[in-house]
Amino acid sequence: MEKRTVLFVDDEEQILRSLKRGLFDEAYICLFANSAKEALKMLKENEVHVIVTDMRMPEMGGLELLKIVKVEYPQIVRMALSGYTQITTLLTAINQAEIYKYITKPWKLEEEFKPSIRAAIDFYNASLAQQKA
Amino acid sequence: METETTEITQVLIDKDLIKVLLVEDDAIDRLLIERVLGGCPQPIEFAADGAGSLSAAVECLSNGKYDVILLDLMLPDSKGLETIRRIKEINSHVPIVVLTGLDDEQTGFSAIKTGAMDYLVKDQVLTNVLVRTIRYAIERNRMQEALRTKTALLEAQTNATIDGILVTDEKQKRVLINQQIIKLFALPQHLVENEDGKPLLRYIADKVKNPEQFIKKVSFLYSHRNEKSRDELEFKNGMTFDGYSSPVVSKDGKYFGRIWTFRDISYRKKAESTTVLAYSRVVQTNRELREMQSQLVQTEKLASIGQLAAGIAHEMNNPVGFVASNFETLEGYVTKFESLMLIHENLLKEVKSVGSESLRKKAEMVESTRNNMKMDFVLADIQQLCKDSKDGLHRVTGIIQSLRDFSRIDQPGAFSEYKINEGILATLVVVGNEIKYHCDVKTELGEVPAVTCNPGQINQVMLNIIVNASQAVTSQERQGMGNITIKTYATDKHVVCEISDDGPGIPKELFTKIFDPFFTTKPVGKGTGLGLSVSYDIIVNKHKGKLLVDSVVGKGATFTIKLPLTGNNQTPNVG
Repeated sequence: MEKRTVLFVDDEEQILRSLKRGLFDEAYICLFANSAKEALKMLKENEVHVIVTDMRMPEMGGLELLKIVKVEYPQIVRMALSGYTQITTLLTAINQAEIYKYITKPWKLEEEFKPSIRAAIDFYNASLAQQKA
Repeated sequence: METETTEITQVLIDKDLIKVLLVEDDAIDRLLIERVLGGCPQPIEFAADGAGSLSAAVECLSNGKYDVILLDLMLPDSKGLETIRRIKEINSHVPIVVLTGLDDEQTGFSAIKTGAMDYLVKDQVLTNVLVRTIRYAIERNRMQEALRTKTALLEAQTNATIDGILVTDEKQKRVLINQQIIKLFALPQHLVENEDGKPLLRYIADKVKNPEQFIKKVSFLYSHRNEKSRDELEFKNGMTFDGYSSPVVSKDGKYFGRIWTFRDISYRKKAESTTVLAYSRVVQTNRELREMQSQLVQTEKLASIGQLAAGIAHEMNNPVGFVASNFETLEGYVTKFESLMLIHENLLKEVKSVGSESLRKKAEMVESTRNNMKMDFVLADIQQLCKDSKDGLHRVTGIIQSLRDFSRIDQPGAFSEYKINEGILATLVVVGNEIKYHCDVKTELGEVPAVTCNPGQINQVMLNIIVNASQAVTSQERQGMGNITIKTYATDKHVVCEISDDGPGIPKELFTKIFDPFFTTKPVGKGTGLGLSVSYDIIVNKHKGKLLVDSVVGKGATFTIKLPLTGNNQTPNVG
């Protein structure tokens, strides 16, 4: 099967680097953007299958980014990685951006994070298969 | 006799000329009397008009003024006592002296009862008797008139007063009653006419709320002559009278009885009770408001603390997030190193047993380096190290969690030395997360003395104002970042902190309103409308300082906090 691509968006470079090293031998391609704006640019230039974004970022936040992605790239599986755990923030993300999963910071890499990404890719593949059928 | 006449004249009469109307149908009698009057010695002079009939007399009375009327009762057009009544009807003020025949003293007495002042027996009319009778009649009449006037005045006064007045003697017999008391008690006619005070007492007792007590009090007052008493009388119909009773005693000690006065004070009582009720309601409401206020202030505080805690937690979640993630990766790295090390060790053993001389030496060198590095300990410790570190990260995560749940009870803040610049920097650290995505904060902190205040409260005020500034800027949904400038400086009397933003500003008409409790321009759920009112309370009421606002709509707003410098805290302090 063709390799899948996951785009990670966060305004903190250290977060992105920690993800990069944590996932370096995973079976998918990882892309990294440090702002929503850059993420949108990368989406234009690359075929992305899963997007994982921070919620609170300067200028454009994660919610807004995900809403754009939902409209322009509806096939991409949307996920959030955020330190915000208030019910209202979660509900807004779920209801407005129709996200697949909401992972809270700090995350557990082996136990939670990697399985979630893999599950998102499986979900993407399954959706694709359903569409073709 | 003449001497006596003169004396009496001087004492009793101050008139030189006495005008007499002589009503007598017998011309001889008239002449006789006129002559007697004419013969009166100085200084009195009589001027007599004669009238032969009642009708002539009536005409005289309507045309002229007379001091006395000498009246024969046997006139052609009127006979007997009826004549007196007729004259009185025309003019009741002129005294009448009746002229009677010798054999008719009884008529004289009847005449006096009917209203004449005196009587004279015609055939006995002598100068001195006539003059004296006339003078006495005039004087008596004058005294009677005076008494009448006085009585009329007294009665008018009694009826003109607002109080109901009753005077009774010792036997409870009514001496005086005025119109007001009839109205106050709605006295029926038979009681008004009844001179006995006892039925009146029973009537009133029947109306008061506590008849027994009322009767007891009245009896007590009747049996204690000199007692005075003032009471509020409550009636069954809800009215209240102010009742007063005191003995009525003349200057020379004559006891007339007792006066009872009553005044309707129902309106006052009602007003009083309304006022008392209203006051107690005000007190109650005030207490409730205070409770509500402290609750709301508490809520507001907790809300802002909670907001900050969440902000701080978010800030910490990022570094903790990548540290934890990196650590897991590091564990993977370590495992790789361990596996590799194992392969190397095995290789080393093989080299040592079967390798060439030079290789063995190299292997021994590696082994000694390994021993010098205490690799046995390192390898054995790695697991424990990782476990401990993971525990530590776990605990930090827990602390973040508890920070989110953080809330605390209001502590009674004590006043202490406060360096405002330090307070500002601390506040900026705390609110950094709230504002750093929307605003650039610039500080121009001057050299200012420390002030004595409640640091926690002042920090809260600055936090409120800075957060407000940030929210004001955010509300504009502008493209770039907003600007907040915080300036401090000192004047003679104050340490001043100005917090300015370049947000939408505040219209002038809202300058006072923004400090009102519950006033807010933020969307529902965003603000409680208490931030600035609490801030105002802290600065103005608790610290005797000033909290001012200035703004130009569209350009931004400036809040100025002025904290008073007092006594010994004016030592300069480099912020």
